[in-house]
Amino acid sequence: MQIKADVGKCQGYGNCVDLDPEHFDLDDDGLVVLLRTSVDEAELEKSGAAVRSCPVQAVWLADHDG
Amino acid sequence: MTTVEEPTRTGAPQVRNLVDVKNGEISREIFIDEQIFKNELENLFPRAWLFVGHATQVPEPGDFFSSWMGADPVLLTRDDKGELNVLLNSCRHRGMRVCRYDEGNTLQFTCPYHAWSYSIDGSLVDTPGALHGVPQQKAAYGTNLEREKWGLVRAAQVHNYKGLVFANWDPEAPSFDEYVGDFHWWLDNLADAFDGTEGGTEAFRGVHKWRIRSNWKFVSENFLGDTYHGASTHASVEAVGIGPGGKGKRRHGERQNEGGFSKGRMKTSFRRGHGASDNLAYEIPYPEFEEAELDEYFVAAWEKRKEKLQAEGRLLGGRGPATLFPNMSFAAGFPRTILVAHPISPTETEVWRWYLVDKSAPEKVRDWLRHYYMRYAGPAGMTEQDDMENWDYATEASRGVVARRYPYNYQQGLGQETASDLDGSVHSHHAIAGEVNARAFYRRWAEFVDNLSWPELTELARVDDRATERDAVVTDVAEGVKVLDAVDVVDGPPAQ
Repeated sequence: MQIKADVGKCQGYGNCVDLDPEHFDLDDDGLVVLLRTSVDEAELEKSGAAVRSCPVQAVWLADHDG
Repeated sequence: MTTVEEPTRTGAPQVRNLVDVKNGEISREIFIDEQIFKNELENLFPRAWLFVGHATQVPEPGDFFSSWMGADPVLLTRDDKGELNVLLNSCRHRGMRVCRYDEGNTLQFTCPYHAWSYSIDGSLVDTPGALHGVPQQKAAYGTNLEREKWGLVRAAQVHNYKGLVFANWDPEAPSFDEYVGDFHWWLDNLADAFDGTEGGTEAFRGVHKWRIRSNWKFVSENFLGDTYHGASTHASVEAVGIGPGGKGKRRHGERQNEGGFSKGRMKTSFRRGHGASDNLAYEIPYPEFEEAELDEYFVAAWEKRKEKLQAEGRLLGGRGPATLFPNMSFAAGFPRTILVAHPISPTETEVWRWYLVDKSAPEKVRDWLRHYYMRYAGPAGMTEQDDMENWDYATEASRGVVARRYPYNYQQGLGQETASDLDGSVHSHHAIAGEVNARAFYRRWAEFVDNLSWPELTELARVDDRATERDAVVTDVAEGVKVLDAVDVVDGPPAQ
């Protein structure tokens, strides 16, 4: 799976960073930065929780070709 | 009459001075005065069990329904575990309503103002309604924001009674069952299907909402036992014939050859303030319908219910109209509908009407009931219009300086209450006249508004003093029944 992000939607809640700091961070404006986009099987639960926790759906999981 | 100038937080018996139950006189001030209204909002509504909505309005996880509890907007929600929650619809940051829709589906409420976000999804937050995230959290608060302290305010107690959902802000309030007492028989008849199936009803989608220029208590009082106004107020509706039997038949459709609407009827008044326009032994079969398919449905339902209830040793009456103290009124027969009178100001009330139907009812029955309910109730309903005219003009004519010096008369049947087998209650002495229910309602109302403590409120309602004082007036029940027989109005003008 791959993580996708729409920075235009991000409001800097930071929930994703709390839950999955290996994939997500915030830049100097407080907006989401993807540290890594690929999610392997072992990481799926953590990354899945991170994207579900976004109040504005600025991040989500997609298939590699999605 | 005195006026109330200070909030009654001290417990001083101020509004109780305006409600003279012994002599049957109640000051007009309690329907007009701003300060009394504020005291109601402070001392009554946040401590009483209030009807919020019907469980069938929020069947799926994420479903929500916007409602009110006294002065406060609330959200009735169903979380991802299927549980019901009642949340204050106001952001903890600047108070904006986090949800402005009447109803819908979402697992989170994000405030439109600064986008604080609250979740009802238990997989994201520990408690449904908890604060789920705030924009720019790191820059704004660093690690200092304790999210668990800033969730949406939750009602302290929520109770689902056969689909009827009630809530209470006060963690110290008695349980719902204790608050309701034996009045639950009327709620059972409201919530159970016409054939007696427990909780076998659902809300029609949509709630009628409108405002009237009247104090909210006029509405509660009317439902809990004003059978006196029917013959005059609703005369024109009776003449038109809007009920099940059609033209020339009464609006409730009661079968005149099987008891009519008055025979054997006594009102039931609870010390805790609840009241019903009838009693459990007052049994009238469902109406006759012009259409055979409808008639068959209701005849079968009545027979099944009769068999079921009799097997349980229950009586078949108790269908109201009635009021659960303080502001949930309902009728559990024809029509079957709930009315909540939301207080807006001393002289303005927002009325909400829910309509119930058997879950198992065929389309034909649903459609007929829908039409009947609309003919009867709601802002365009003919019976409702009659009542609203009275309450609006009574309010207007009572707010004058001179008018306010003169109390209303609540003297019908003073001291003539009769015994009741139900806990903490008495019956009226007469089928139509009798203001025992209203007197009990206002006595209880004053005890709440004067902010008596829960131990005091509980102690006052522990024994119904009317039941003991009554013995001095009506020496035995048989005598009371004899009086009733003498005043039956079987063929006369309709009551209520």
